Amino acid sequence: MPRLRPSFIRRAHNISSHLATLLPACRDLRSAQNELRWIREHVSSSLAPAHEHNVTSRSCVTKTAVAVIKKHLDTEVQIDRLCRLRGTRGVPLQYVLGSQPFGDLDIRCRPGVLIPRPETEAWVFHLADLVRNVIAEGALSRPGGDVDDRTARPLKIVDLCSGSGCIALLLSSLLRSHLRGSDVDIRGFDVEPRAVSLAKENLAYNLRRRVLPRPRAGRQNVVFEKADIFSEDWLASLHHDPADPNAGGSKLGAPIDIFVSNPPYISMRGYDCDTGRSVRNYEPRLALVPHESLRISSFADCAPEDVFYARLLEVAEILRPKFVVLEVGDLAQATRVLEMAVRAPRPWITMEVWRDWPDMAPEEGEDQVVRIGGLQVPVRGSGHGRTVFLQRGA
Amino acid sequence: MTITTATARMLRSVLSVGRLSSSPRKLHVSSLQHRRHLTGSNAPGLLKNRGSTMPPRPKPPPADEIEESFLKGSGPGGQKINKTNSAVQLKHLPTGLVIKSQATRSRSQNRTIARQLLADKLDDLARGGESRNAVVGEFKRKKKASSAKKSRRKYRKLEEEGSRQQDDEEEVDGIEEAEEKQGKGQEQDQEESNEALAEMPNDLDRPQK
Repeated sequence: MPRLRPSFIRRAHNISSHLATLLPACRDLRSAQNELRWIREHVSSSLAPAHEHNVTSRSCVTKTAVAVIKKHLDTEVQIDRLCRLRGTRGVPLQYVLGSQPFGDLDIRCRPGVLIPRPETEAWVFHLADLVRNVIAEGALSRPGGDVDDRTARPLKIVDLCSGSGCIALLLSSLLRSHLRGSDVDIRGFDVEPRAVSLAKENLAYNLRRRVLPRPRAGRQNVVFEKADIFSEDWLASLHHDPADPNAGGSKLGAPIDIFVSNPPYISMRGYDCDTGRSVRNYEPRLALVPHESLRISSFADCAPEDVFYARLLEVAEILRPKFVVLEVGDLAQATRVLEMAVRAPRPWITMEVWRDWPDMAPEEGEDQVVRIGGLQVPVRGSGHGRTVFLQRGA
Repeated sequence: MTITTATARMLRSVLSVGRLSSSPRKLHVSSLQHRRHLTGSNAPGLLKNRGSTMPPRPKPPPADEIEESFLKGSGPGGQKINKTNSAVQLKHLPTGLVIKSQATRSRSQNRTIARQLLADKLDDLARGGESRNAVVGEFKRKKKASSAKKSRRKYRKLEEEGSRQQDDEEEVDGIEEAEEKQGKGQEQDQEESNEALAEMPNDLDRPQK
């Protein structure tokens, strides 16, 4: 990373010493100013307001003045502390502030759990639009089901490697308005206990903020569980019949409607070379790079960074979802995942790659199609190849 | 006149930024106002529509008239990078207006904000003094002016009670009273805006609660 010019730091310092503190992490003045503004807003909203006295007597005026000054000092001390965490130590802003907005949701962020990314937010919005259109056309109804049956049946969604829970929760929030009379049934699984508890916390927190649909009749419709998706026990549990009373309360019941995942997808080399400093130093490697031991076990024939996709496609065969959306690192990885998907025993009727911003027009030089064997797979949007989208017929 | 209104508006937005409040809902409002300060334009819908005299909030133009761009990093994106910059820029193709929003940390929220800002600007362009922006601005300015006047009178009264001043003070008060009646009666723009400007510094001096 190139070193910051002293004249540049001095210029920032002339505006505010906090800006100069933030500069090593932000690298440019504009984003340092933005981050300082967000830090200020965070501090002033989290500190208790100075006690407001009824201004009648002299002593009360003094008391109020003291309280105001004290609050001002507290605020400055806090701001300085957070700026140092962010700028000098290089902690991600989301861990410093403890949150990241994600659509209308506010997702709590803590070390040990990956911070939600804007690219993920973009594809979740795109997926929700697509699902809404399909619901409007009535194509998500059960075979033979009449209108009443369709509205009564919950939309089943499974999110593997759910992390902070952002994808599951945003889908729940976005699909709510279009499922009048019916429910969304979402299951999130993650291997990291800290992620599972944070996801539960995010569910409760956003329910309190009233940006998530209230559960009906006391039944929670978004559930996060700890599970190792590579374990045979977990895979076996998916085979159970949902109607079987012995199966317990955690059964998924194929077929489901939507299967999403943002698994670890970075290669060892990519982790060492391309990742941002704050990512490498502070975000969990577990959520970024597939563990070495996974490859040796059962997926020896695919690249080490692709093992999760091999497993996810196996799981998809069991859950028989209508839509699958898997986040990937780039177009090359998307191509490799599509090659795996083509070999599936039952064919997908639609295969697509979505770029970072699926709604935007592609720029010059961005391919709008990739070749998989003899197939031409459309590539939508603009940016890096970001998700693989698969759809199966009704 | 336009200059005075603009200055008054700017002063007002500076004041609102300084008045960061503690509740999360209020904070949202203040961040909006901060953005207005940055972009020099009016924030949408911060006032309760009392008595439904305000024109409706303008709708953003259709999607095919907008060219949207995000600040794309040169890096690989996704899990590898953790960007905090979520700025959204809109270009309105028929007029060439460019709007940028980086008010929040959320790209989707910035998109909504930028669209509303663009709608306000277009409304301003199309209807001038009758746009929602102008009408709401006028309403707020009047309200501010009258409350500033009220509080100034109150403090003067307190002072008078304290030190028992002579008669000529009373006379000034009487003039002010008449001026206010006139303002309420027929809304003379010129005088009103001058008045607002004159009263702003007063407000700045006084500590914000």
